[in-house]
Amino acid sequence: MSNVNDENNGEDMSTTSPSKNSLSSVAASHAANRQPGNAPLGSGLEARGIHAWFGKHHALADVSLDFAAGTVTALIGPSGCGKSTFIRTLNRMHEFIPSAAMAGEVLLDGKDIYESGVDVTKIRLQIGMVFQKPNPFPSMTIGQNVLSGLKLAQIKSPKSNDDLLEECLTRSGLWSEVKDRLGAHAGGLSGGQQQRLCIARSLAVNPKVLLMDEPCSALDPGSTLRIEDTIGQLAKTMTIIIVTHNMQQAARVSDYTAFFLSDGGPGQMIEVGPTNEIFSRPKDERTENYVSGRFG
Amino acid sequence: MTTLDSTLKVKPTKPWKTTKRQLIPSTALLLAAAIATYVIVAVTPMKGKLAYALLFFIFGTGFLAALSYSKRGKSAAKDTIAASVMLTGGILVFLPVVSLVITTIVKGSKGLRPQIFTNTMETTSYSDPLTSGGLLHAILGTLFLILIATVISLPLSVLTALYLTEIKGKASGLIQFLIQAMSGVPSVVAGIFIYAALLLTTNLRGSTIIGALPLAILMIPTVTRTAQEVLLLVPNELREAGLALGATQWKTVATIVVPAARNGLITAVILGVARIAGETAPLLFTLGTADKINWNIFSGGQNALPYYVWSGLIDGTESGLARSWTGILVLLILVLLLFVSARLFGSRKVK
Repeated sequence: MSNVNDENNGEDMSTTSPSKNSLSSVAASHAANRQPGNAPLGSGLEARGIHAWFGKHHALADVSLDFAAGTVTALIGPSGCGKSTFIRTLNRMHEFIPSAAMAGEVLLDGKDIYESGVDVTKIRLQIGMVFQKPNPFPSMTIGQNVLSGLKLAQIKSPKSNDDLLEECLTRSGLWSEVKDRLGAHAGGLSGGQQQRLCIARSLAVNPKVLLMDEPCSALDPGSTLRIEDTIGQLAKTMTIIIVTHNMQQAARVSDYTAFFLSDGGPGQMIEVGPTNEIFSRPKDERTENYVSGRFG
Repeated sequence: MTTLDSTLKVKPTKPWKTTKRQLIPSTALLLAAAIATYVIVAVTPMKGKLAYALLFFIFGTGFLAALSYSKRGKSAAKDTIAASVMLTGGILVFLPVVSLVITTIVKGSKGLRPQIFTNTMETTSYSDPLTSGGLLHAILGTLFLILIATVISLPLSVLTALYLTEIKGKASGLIQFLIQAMSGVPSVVAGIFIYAALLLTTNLRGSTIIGALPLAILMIPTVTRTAQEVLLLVPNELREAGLALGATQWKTVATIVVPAARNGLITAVILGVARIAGETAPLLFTLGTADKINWNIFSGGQNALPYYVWSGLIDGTESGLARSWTGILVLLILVLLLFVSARLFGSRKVK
């Protein structure tokens, strides 16, 4: 595995130890080598030596991963391997759980989001999240749901509410279905529509990074395809990290794939690389067993 | 098209409704049970309504169980017995409530005339004929008391419940314990507490606002515990969604959690009002008394429906008692109206 860090100009790689992060560096450098003039928007995110605990249970050990700006990275692995825990450390939602603890650094634009004095609400504005179960706010209408982030974070958008509504709902692929009933309650939407509403809600605050924690696991195949389309569209403007149990989905939507596994102990990141490589010629035997369906 | 026509002629036949013919055996058996009960009570020393009820229960259950056994075997018989026991249990619980409401309506309607809603007891004594006097002042007093007690206790209770469910601070255990202890406080103790703390030690005299204080004390644990329950029912995903959008915890609670729990919080208030609306004992120490309308909640005595009922009872004359029953009936109706309007108001926006 030759180290391609040297050519990497987009990411600050100096703090990465090559031995441990060579594969993730590949992922990052691939992104950085994208066509000039097609410069991705959004921000890169770098996780350094992430450990996570629930009480005394060590759930995740020493995960380092780079997410280059404008890429889609899929986190795959069997249940209980720490994927969701990892993704929740990336926007500090992990600490919402009582007894949860973590170690390591998460760098957004080169700054550690866990540094003392960092306003956690500002971090979550920049790193949005879509959850496994669609969770629109039941007391609000469809329109209010989309704009709720502005109200909750007490920020103002440069655009007018109507423009923002249309833009976010269009980007999440829901506009044509709901444009005539923005004043209806969100509970009347189907599960897939609710999830796209939740995506639109995350987009309204204009995040640089979007975390998706198994966003399609509660949805039918049709809605899943729609959301995957949405992800493809969004990836042009932001960095997306998606946890999924569905390997076909990972193959369809992601540029890079990271494989997580727990051998009974804390979950670890086994391998990361460009998605087609992970699925066609993984370097680790365990990855190969998993992606070829021999277990998990 | 013939197939379609014949298909359209099919009428729903399932689930199978019990036909009248199928009801004949069990009806006959229940009739037999009734006759057996009557005969046994007539020939044995057992007597009274209780004997009838008990024997009818035994015979009826036995006969129906035997019928089930002959048709579908042992487990069907057990099923019949279990169903019969549960039905009886339901009736036993329901009976006192029905009896109470019917008695109140029958006895209270005697004094229920239009004039009682416009008159007070200013120039009438409880023993006077029912054609004079009224309880407008008591209705207003009760409304004042409920309103003030709610205004005092609702914010305290909801904030306490939020502390317990959302902040989960260090004092949670202690507060939970105190709330539970408070819900066991007898109402008269709350009255004496306010009496000793405010009326004995200062120049204050009994008034509407002082009377509402013990009621607020009684209301707080009920509202807090119910509010806590409904806040716990709000899915954690909604809190996470709010936080993930960059909201502070306070913003998340205020704009997402509380609105999502709105209907439940209204129920909490209703239960709290139900707890205090009929309280008499604490009012005896704290309300002062009045026979006419007193709009000033800060000074001067006040009346209330439970207090009015109590006064009529103390009077003891026939018309005094009749006034008491009417007071109870009006209180029942008033509380019912409050609950219905709270429900309508609460469910109007959220569909």
